[in-house]
Amino acid sequence: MTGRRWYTPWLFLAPALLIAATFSIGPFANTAVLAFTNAKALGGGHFTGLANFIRMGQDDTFWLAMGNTALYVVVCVPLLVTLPLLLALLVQRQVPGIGFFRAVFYSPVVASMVVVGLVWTWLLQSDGLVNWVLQSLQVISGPLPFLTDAQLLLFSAMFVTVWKGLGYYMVVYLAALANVPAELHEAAALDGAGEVRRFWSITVPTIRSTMLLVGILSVIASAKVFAEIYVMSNGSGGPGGQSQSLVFRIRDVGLGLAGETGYASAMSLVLFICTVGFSIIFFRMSRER
Amino acid sequence: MSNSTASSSETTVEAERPRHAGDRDPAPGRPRRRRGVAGLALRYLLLCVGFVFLAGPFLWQLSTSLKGPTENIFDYPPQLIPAHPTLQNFAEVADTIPVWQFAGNSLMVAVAAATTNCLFGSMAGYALARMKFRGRTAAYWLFLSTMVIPFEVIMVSVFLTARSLGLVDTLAGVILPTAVTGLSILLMRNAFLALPRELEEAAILDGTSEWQRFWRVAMPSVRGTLSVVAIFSFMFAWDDFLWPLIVLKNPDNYTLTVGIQYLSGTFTSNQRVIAAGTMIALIPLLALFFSLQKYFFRGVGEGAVKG
Amino acid sequence: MNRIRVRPGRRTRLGAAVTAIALALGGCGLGSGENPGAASGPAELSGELKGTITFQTLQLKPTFTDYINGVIARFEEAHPGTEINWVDIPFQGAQEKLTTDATAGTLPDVVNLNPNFAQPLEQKKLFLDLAKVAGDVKDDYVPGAWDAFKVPGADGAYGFPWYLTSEVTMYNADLFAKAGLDRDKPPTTVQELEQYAVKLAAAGRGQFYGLHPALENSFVTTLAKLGVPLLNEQGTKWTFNTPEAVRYVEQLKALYDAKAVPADSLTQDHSKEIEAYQAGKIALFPSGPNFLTIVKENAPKVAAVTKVGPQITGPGGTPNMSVMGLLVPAASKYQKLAVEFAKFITNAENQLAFAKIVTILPSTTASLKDPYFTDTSDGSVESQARKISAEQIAKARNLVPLQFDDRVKKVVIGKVQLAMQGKLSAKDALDQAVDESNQILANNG
Repeated sequence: MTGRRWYTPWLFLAPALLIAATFSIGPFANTAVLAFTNAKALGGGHFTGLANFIRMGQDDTFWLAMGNTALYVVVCVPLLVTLPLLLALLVQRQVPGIGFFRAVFYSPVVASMVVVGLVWTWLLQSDGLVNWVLQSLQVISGPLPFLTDAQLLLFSAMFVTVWKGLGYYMVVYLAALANVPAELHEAAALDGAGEVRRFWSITVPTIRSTMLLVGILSVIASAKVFAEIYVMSNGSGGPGGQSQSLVFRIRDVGLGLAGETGYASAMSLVLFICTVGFSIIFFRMSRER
Repeated sequence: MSNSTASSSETTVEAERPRHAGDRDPAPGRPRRRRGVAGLALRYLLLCVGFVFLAGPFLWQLSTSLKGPTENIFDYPPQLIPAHPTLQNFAEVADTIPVWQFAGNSLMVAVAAATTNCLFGSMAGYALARMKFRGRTAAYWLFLSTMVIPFEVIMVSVFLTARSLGLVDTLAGVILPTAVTGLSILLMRNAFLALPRELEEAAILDGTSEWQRFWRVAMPSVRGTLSVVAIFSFMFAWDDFLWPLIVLKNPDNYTLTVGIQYLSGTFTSNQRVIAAGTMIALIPLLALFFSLQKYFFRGVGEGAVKG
Repeated sequence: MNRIRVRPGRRTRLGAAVTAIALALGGCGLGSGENPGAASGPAELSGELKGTITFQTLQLKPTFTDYINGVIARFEEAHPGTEINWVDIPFQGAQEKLTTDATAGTLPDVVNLNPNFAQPLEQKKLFLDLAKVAGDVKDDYVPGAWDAFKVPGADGAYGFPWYLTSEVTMYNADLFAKAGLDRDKPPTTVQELEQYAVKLAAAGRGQFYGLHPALENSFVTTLAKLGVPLLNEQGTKWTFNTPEAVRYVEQLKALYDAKAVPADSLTQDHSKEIEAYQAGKIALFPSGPNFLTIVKENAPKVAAVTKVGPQITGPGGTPNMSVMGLLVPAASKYQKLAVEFAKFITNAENQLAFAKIVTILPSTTASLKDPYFTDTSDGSVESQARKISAEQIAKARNLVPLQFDDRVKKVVIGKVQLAMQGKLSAKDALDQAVDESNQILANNG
């Protein structure tokens, strides 16, 4: 229809494709090959077929990490799709001093993970502020072991993920909200539609593709979760490593000078396939609605 | 570049865009205003709750960085406000490490990453969003899948690649692997998808080329998302630790995040100075955020066009 | 948006093409990192003492910049035509950097490593055997330190020992007084340490505790001190699930149950132990004397009431020490120069000068005889700590087996944590830890 040459799109894509192929797809293809070997961090290794995957099937720690990661995705994704949108709506209107609040809301994103870990472990420790408040309100009788109970620790880490993601996705939503034509709102307002009604009938449909994007981004981020669990558990992955995620496991196995690159690669391949698969399902589901 | 095309298309775009912040409510009737006051109060209440909830770590670090040498910073319960505030710790950071040199390296890397991500990311995003061609879906999933790969897994391979390209110990070596990320491409694609079709059609009638439509029509309409991509990629490049450490050999080339590691070690670990160092690393990010925010804080809430 | 269907044939072809490009660009996966392992080099290094080498240290900048530059300047002056490039890398991320460098064959000519970092690289025969090429200086070093760079079950030694640290027991004398303990009598054995911890915690009533277990740092050394055999003779199997070890884990659990240690300390490491000590939350802090400086910087009030005693030991009485060393990769182009430089920087004179800047110990027996290490006339905690650690270094060993790498550590400590929480019995925890560690050992072999 436009008389565009067949290669025009590829010219637009060329720089991105080149960089992706060189620095991520290529190395990852390498990883995919290593997944079928018993290679070590310092090289070597030979083809072992499906041995790594069979080992994974019997590796309890792998399944534990897999389960924790799945739980992470299921809990965090819905929160990360909805809460930042509400936050975006809150700071969007121009009121005096709003610039200050906007920057503040973004600050968890730029704060280093070390500091985030320091502050939240301090708040959540057994004699920390959160336990103190809960006890003075008589919600609980003794302090809750937020940091030393495997399940509670996992939820604490999820909480930090959501907390740190609020400002991040808020920014994405704000950019999208800026694209919602003001005229639509005016027209609806003249028709007597309230704010809530306008939100559902105008805002949500126009930013649907952004919600989908945030959904996929948060699926990927949650599936790759590592830092939050690491800092909240002091690098231990919880008592006995009971709260570790899949990436946590992959690092444990593959990193370091004695790392088992082959086995770690196989687990990465599984993580990759599961995440892409989950994204596709998510994508299809949102599209059909 | 032809000026006439540019101006005509830009006016088109202006018309499509919602108005800037600061515009007033068109018909502030009395009952509405009262509701407005209550709403405003509620809004500030929520903003303050958000403040307490989200600003914590930042203020904590700021407080630690301002504490004087006689204060015990691990006191329990912790002292939130420094008793003897001082800027001495910041001076000590500068004495301890060549902080300006490191910051200069970081700045170069981060600005380059923001530029390439905006440019290449929007080119790819534009193709994915506005062009129909064979392999588009495949390309989309390919870029998406690059985001799924944990970096630690491919680190050694990436290093070998960088070495064979002669990129070791260069700032280009730091930048190139993240010169355009899947995230930038997806964000830009999403922004271009939201543009109304009429925009393009008008430009096609003007007889512009594909590149002109992209550069002069589409790009100005997605400034909000462009600034988001700029902030995100600047931030990632600025914060990245492991890759610069691995690819750089000469410490003169270190970026700030790597450099401030020298503040804490086996033989010294002054938490106040470390906090000051991280504040130095944080402030440019917040400053950048401040300067770009007006591009994406254009609200619908302000509603109507005046007059 | 309409989706474009790609015909299957096309899609596969595109995929194949992408993979092919990727493989070509990514370099081959297998076999990479097979370094030219001239493990057993010639007995005498030939060649001239000329050229430019890179010398890489672990986090010595900026505190020791002047010292290191001074040593380098003197070496270059004594050997015209040589140039030493000093590169200092931060400790964080060092492991990853070393892995990539070792894989890519880009290790520097002289590398500063601790024995646990060095071990897997030594096994790969990446370093020169110093017993062969520099055997003449072997006797200059403290024997326990020289041995730390041997590969278990194999010949050769791969590192010149550099600086050493030997733990002392730092304690908060004020908290001792509050618990009715003698301000000048710190615990000296594992048994006493636990008794003190219980007393201190009882007096602290949640305000302060006796100690912080920092398991990742202390567990395996304590087992060694208690005489538990950690590995079999050949270094091929872990053996620490003995009744003695079971008893120790049960004691740890009892300490935890009695709240003699902070509740959250279960999963915390040494860095949190320092924080807790600086906050005045724990009374006992067994650690390297180099931490005295850090406590002084961060918590002046706690530093003022800090006293030191000798290292906690078991019935055998062998204290532990930590070693840093310098290694020369076999792939270095200037092996002779690299070895000479490593010798120079670790010689008695240069190490003594180093020890005078910071509370570390030299690994050369001659420098340890210096009065500097026996003189406590200035009455400072530092000089006392220096004297104590210098005295114990002669009989000290590196008690942590070289095979106790990060992965084994994680497995073992994880099981102990579960035992302390009561989720596993002490016996089961240790049995499982031994099993899983053996698996890792087998996979490494």
